[in-house]
Amino acid sequence: MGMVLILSGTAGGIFAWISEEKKCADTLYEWRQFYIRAYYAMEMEHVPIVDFLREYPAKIPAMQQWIQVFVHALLQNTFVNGEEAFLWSFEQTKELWNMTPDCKEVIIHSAKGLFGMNLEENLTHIKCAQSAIEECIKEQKIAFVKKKKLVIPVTMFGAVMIIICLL
Amino acid sequence: MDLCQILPVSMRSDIPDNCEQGLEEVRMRVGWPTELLYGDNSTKCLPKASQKDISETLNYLSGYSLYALATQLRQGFFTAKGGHRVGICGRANDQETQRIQGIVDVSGINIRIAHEKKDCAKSLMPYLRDGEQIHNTFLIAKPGVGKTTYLRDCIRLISTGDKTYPGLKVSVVDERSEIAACYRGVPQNDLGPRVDVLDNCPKVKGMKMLLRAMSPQVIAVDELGGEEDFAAVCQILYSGSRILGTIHADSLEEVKQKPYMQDILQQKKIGRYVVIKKARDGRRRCYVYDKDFKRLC
Repeated sequence: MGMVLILSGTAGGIFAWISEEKKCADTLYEWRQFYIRAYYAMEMEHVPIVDFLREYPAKIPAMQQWIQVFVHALLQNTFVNGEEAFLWSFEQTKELWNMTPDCKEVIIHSAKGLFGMNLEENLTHIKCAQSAIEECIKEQKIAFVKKKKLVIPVTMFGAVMIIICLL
Repeated sequence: MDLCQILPVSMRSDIPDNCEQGLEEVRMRVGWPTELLYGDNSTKCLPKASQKDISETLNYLSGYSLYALATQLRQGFFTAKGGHRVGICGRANDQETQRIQGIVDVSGINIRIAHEKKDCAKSLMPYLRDGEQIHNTFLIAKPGVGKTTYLRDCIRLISTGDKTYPGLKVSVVDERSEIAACYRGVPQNDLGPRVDVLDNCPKVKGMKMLLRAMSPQVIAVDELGGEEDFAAVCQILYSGSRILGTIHADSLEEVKQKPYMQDILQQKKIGRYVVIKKARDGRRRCYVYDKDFKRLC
């Protein structure tokens, strides 16, 4: 019975860790999707930012929450420029974002991409942000594989050792 | 239009109460007081505007999306939500190619408040009616007098109809979203029940498209002026539909001197010319002329 409990606890721990990593990956994929859609909406449809955000089909709760706060901030017409509203709303929802400081930095810099003086400037910024996020995704994947190689055997080994010791 | 929503945050505390009553224009120039201009020619001043203030106002007016208005900005203006026209002055870039890419370093803006004055054109309707149809009509006035306001009300009255005459199918080419103030293609202003609006479409193309696609009884269009505009009007005149348009001019004499209008004037296909004048007290007076330029009222 004790053996079963220890092994299932270990498996649960590994599962929780993988879920957390997946959440982080989902967040980055969501932002990548966001940039792709923003690029298309700006280049082809010339959609105002608020309309784009209102129709954006956010999949993760953090994005949904941020969009809500951001749209509200924009409609208030109290921020001197959109970049400030972006940063303010991102700050308001910072606890919800499951990502590394580097990725956060990329997103903060991308604020310029949505509120540049002209379309070309915006598109260039968005493209850069998209590339940077893709780079983050790649790095995260590599890190995850490395961690997985270490974490799973070590945890399992630890669990087996505990069982042996208890026996 | 709520001024507290569009003027810079630093100016908002200086905005007097009830200042929107009768407001026709808001003018901001770098280094000069912001002016609120009223229909009765009175003016109220707000604190001096800086370039940053103007940029902030443009952000509010464009919904923080100036990039989405790039095509309009090349012409020196854009239309804000609600149909308000925002004119821009500054440094036009790319002079070498003689093709303006946009305006940078904005030094002044002029917000012309759109008014939806229902029934302002009611007194004109008996003169515009031609049995169950209407006369081909041009509304003539200089900028800021209210051509678009009158045109909007004419469209509404014609499409609604009255006890004597049924409403007509009116198709509107709204190049600058000023007539219908469309939001995502749906008119926000009341234009009556039988109106089809082609929003944000060049006049000439729009008139031809509507003629082919919507079987209109009346085609309404704002600010005719170019050679191509009048060529498209000629096409409508010989298609069975009627035209309801506006022209920039101070008087009928000025219209007669417009080079591109000569053919249309000679053919006497335009049944009514309505000249709108603004009196000193801000009231508008309309003078209606027939195809022979004989004054009817």
